[in-house]
Amino acid sequence: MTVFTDDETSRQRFAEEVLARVALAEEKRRNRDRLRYLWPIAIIVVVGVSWSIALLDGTTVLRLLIQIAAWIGALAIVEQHLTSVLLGPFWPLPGVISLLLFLAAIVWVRVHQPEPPEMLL
Amino acid sequence: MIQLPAVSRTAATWTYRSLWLLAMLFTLAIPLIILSRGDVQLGSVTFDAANRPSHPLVVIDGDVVLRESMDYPLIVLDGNAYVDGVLHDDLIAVAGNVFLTGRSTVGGNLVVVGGDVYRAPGAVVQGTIGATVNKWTIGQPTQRALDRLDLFSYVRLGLAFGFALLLLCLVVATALPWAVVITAATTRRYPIRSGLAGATGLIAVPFLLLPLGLSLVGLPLAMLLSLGALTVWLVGLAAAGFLIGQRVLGNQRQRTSFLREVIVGLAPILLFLAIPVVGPLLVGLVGVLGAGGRIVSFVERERAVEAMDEIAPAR
Repeated sequence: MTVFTDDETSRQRFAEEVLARVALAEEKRRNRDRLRYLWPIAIIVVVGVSWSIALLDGTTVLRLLIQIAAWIGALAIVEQHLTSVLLGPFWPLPGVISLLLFLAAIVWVRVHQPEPPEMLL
Repeated sequence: MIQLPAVSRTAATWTYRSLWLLAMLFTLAIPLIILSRGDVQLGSVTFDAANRPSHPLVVIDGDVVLRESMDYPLIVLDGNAYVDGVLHDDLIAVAGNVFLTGRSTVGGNLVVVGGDVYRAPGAVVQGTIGATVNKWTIGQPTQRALDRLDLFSYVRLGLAFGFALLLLCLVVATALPWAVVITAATTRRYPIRSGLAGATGLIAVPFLLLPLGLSLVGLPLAMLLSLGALTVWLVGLAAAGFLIGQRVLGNQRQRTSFLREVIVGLAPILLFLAIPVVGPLLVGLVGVLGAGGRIVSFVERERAVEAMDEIAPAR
């Protein structure tokens, strides 16, 4: 058997609470809608400011990179001459180091190659 | 196919270790040889008619004034060079400016890193110039390039560079996620081996780049090699970031993502770039350590597998 309680006051209060919540949600939605138009502007401002900073720094970095490339080229030109002058009779040392590192790298790679198995006992 | 002689694994291992050790010893010997030959001078020096240079010279932490002619190369580290005579050889300045008066001549190449060339009208440079050249009149005040950069600009540039590196590392981590994870695992499991491999790479790359940069044919190869080295370094840096990110987000590992771990770990590392001199060195070394891990995991696959097995249950 089902019992129905017809409490008008509590129904009224419940309806008011629901309406208040709906109004609150509606208000929040309106606020969001108002702010929604600000998002693209905010993004444009942020991106614009970032670009204005990045362009300056980017130009500096690009200039630095060009200078580094020029320095490497210039150092390469003077390197051989300087090596022979500064190291005297030991001038082949950089070449020997390169050769030793190259040989070490070959043997290192070879040792850790799994195939062919008969190469390593 | 060329048949290599059959050797035992132990012998081969000791062979490459000995070759590597010998190469490292020779590398360390280079500065010692230069020192023992008496070509290094600490502090400022002036050359005139009474004091003529008779050998190549590396001047550290001091200015050089050259009023006489010199037949040998001159290298100035952390100091200015004033040339008022004839230098028949190369002139290299690092972290300092070069001033060329109207009656000066540099017969060789002129390279300035971390400084500028101030050239008075009438100064002659016969070789290649690797520097920024400014017009100059005697008595005009100048500043070193490093001194001109104030702290605020340095911090701004450092942070911008750090942000750019973060983006590059994210690109690398997105494109090569597996490489970053394996590198991180190998670096964590074998830090000493990774460090040694990274240091070897650091020594080997200039030895390869400089000779290649000498010729027009080798230049593109040098550029490709630089790009490859940079990529390996970025993978290493991303791997280091990933390791730190894992530590930081340790208790939230199930709820986080790979890229988030990389970002969280890299951010504190790259913030160090705002600190002058020490910051870039630290970030560079962290990248070199990670790059060593990449090299080890690439060549010694069994170690990489072992390192991955170790972290597998945690993931």
